[in-house]
Amino acid sequence: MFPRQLLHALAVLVPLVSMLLVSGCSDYEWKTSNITGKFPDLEFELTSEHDETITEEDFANTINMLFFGFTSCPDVCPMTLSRLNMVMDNLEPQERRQIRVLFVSVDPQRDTPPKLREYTNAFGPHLVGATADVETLETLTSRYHTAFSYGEKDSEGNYNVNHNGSVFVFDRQGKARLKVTASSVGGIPSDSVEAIASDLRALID
Amino acid sequence: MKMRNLLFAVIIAALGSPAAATGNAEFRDPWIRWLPGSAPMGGYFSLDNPGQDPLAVSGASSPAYGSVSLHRTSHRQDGTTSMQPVDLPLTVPGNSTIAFEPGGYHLMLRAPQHSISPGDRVTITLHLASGNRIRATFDVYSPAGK
Repeated sequence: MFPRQLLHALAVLVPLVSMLLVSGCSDYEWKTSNITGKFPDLEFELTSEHDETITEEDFANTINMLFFGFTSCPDVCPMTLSRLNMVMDNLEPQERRQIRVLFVSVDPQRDTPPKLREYTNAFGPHLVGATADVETLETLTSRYHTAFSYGEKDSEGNYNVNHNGSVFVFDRQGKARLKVTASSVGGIPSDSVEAIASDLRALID
Repeated sequence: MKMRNLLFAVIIAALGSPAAATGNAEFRDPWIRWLPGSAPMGGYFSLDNPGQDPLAVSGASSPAYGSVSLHRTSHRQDGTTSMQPVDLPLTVPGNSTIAFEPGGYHLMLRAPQHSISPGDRVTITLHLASGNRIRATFDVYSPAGK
């Protein structure tokens, strides 16, 4: 009989304690932009850097950061990704393991899976590259109220891709929680490494 | 009278540093963010113009890259960021500094002429409208940057 009573007690206590923990967390003041309830859940179907179809289910139970960019981008994309690297360095290894950065290329014409793989490997194991056809990418970017467009090709066929520099952060349940500015463009400051790391820690806890 | 003129000359000489007197523009902190594959790399530096006269930068070149161009990243009205070639010449006013830094002005470095890796050093030359050239050695950093 005793074990059953213990189970009952636990059945009451566990949710109670979790509620207390959650309400404790709600006192936390977010340092980056809180988008909870304002943006839709993480949902996608993309081609990964390993040329496999991936969906949000492959990213379940981790904190995911979503960033739209392209590899032929010498300035904003590597600035953003290097800042996220600094954030990762700021976290403990067991925290780092719970975070992934999904780098979605909006330039599928040039960013083939092998090229994406080579690019993400240069930044670290937390970074996963993916892309899709333009129509799929348009649906996904507009889902997060962003856009992308292509500049004119120069004589050598090079072109710029206009894209949004924000990083969207999703919790373990796939809920959109934060919009992080990890790059500083035109003198507008980015969120600090410490602020981003602190918010990620709060999502992990 | 002569003494006063001499004094003025001494004061003026003391106020003007040797660099200001010659107007030599100088690079500070030149570096490149290396990227893998055929991705263009970004080059960054500060350029001091200690002279009185404005400095007009008309272009750049490097033996290490087939193409070196001046670009600037900016925000567009739709919330996206965009890179545009800089209208040349780019004028640096007298007694001022222009910063080429992530998220703003940068050198777009394409078509490496040989294998370039983090840890390497690369020479880049800025061409001035006056016909003068300013050369600097850039440190190549990993994608994580400085």
